[in-house]
Amino acid sequence: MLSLVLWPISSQASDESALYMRNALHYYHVGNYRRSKEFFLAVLSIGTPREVEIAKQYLAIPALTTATKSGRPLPRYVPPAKPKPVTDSILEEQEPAPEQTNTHVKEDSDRIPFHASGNLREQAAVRTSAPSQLSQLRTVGYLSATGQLLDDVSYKVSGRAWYDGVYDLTDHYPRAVKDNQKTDGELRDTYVDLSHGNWDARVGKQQVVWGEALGLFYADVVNAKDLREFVLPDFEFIRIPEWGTDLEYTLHNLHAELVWLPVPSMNLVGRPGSEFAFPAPAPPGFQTVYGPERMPAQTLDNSELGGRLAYRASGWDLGLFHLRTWDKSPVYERTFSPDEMTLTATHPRLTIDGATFAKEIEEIVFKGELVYNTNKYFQTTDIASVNGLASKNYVDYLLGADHTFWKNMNASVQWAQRWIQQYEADLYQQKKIQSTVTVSVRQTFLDDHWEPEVLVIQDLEWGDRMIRPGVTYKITPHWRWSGGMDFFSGNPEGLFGEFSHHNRGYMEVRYDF
Amino acid sequence: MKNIRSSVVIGILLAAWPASVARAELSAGQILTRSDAVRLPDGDFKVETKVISTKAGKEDVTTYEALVKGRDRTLIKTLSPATERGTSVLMVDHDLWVFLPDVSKPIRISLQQRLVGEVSNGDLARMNFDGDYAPRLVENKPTFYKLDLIAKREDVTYGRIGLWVAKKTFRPLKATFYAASGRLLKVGSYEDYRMLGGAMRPGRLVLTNAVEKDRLSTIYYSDMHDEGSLPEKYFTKDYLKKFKY
Repeated sequence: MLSLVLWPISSQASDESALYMRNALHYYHVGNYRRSKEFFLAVLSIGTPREVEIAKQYLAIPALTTATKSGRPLPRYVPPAKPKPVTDSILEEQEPAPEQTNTHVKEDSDRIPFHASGNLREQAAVRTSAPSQLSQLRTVGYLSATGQLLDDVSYKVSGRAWYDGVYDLTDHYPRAVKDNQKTDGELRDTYVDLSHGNWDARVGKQQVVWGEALGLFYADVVNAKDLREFVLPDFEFIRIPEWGTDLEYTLHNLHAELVWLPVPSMNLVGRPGSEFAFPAPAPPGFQTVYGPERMPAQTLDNSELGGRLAYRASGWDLGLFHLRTWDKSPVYERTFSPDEMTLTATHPRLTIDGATFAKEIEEIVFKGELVYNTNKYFQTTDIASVNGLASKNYVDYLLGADHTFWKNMNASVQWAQRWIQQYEADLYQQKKIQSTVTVSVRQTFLDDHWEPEVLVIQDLEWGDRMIRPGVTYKITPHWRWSGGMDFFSGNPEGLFGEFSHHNRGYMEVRYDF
Repeated sequence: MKNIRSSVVIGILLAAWPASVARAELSAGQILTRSDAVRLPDGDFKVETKVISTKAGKEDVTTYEALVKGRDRTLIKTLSPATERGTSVLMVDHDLWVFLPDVSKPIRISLQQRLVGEVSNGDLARMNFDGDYAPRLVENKPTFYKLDLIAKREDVTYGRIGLWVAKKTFRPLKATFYAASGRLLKVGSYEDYRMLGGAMRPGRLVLTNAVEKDRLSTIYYSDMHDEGSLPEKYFTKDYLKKFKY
């Protein structure tokens, strides 16, 4: 007790360290050396220099050096409503008030409650190239519900539907296009998420997205795409969720993933006569008819299987992947009869291997992708070819850099190249080496309410390009408006130049809830 | 007997210890550590934050849920407005990713990208000063300390921070945030101390633009509680797609 008298409790000591010091001395003097040691150790980290010096002196005493800690946590200090005189006697160890407890026990109410959300969009587009015409007047609705069934089981159910009035208001498009694009309704991401320790599994209809690039599909190879509007809609809109299982394992910086898609889906492309139909690979001089699309049979042997390994080290995001899939874009087998040529869309097997990286250096984010496609079938215009197809291997690679200027101007540059091995000049719309440069700039104004942006993709070999200036205006927390132009120009044999007569202006009003 | 003798010796020694030396002995590092401890709990925790950005009387409100593991891992989920709901920002060490619902994949971004209003990604995601800045005590007044915090690395949010800390409680009072060039960017005020996460912590941080004084963002903290040990996998970019809103 002498030490208490001779230890002038300084008014400058914090209340918490003073509490610990008093408790430490109390337990020392009643012979509870284990508890005393714990309080002295606590004083070392938060005490005043004088308190620390005292604590060290006591901790050097053999009774304390040999004492083992009890392991009981120290009580959380609760500041009193009114400051108490520091000459109070020893404070009892306080039981924290229930609302101030340090431990938060997970209760049922902590589970994600059922939550519904969605959006409603009104989209309009006008072709500005001759002949100028209304090309879209579409209402799109999206609804999503998420919830949690158990601690480690959650779910999502979502769906989307649209009606495009341009097909009833005008006669601009053939019947086949109207039947294909006037209305649509589908189940979107709908799955159950299971979690156990380092393992996670997502079972159901889902999107599996790989790759680092923006604005382009290189390593984004798992899901089929809806290309009936080319690549103009959001990528989340373009990607078609597929039924499957995505099994993942995470350990520190390592992430392993196994994907199994038992029922393969194929890309949707515009039918002949639609606004963004891809031209038929038909040599001139033949009447072309289209046979029924041949899809892989839905058997276990035809399922898709792939895996991905990702690792983060020293700021590098590294990834490797392998996918045994089907060519989701149609590849047209060609057969001739005396008067006509029949094109039949097929989907041959395809193997894709790739690597990706991303790293920030000096405030610039560098990213890259390398994708090797084995046994890809290309169209050929060689009349001597039996079925109009030629199998080649090819590699895509991409390098990109992103940087933010003045805090709110985001700029991105990407250079990509494709190299087809064993190239033949008869390959339809293909060059041995094809390079594209992509530039994207986006900036916010007026307190982030206005966001103009421009995207330019230039093909260096074909000499064609796509330019997309646009702006988004956030009207309220629920409403936003966006509008812009899509320009296609250059060599009509290029991927973008072939749509040079389909420049358009568009706008969208969107309500999110 | 030996113990009592030791106690007496210690007591006599301490009686002669000038009380006024006690507080002045604290190093800048100790002051900063204690100030960080006032702002943030130890261990893993979750906190809801509301950011109100104001300019010329007009307000924009964004709410987030932040999960923090240790001192170098933070996940920020955007809860509202509806147009932004579903966006997540993940920070691990000094690496940053954003998950956008319309893209459905994590995108690597830089710390400098602005989150909303006067709030940068680093303001919400990188909450501790102790790990990122080297402190220097520049003023020692009767009621407060003034620290100069110099960035230890080039990739932290600010080049320099001036921090005022209350002497008795180590509560942060005010902060000035500078770019690497030395230009003053914004001024922060820690206000509304209240019980959060088992201790008295600032319930409000007001960030004012240094040039346009009518532009400010206020960060409100609420519902802060200990989460025990959050799974490591939550703080990986591949897990961002799993979070439900």
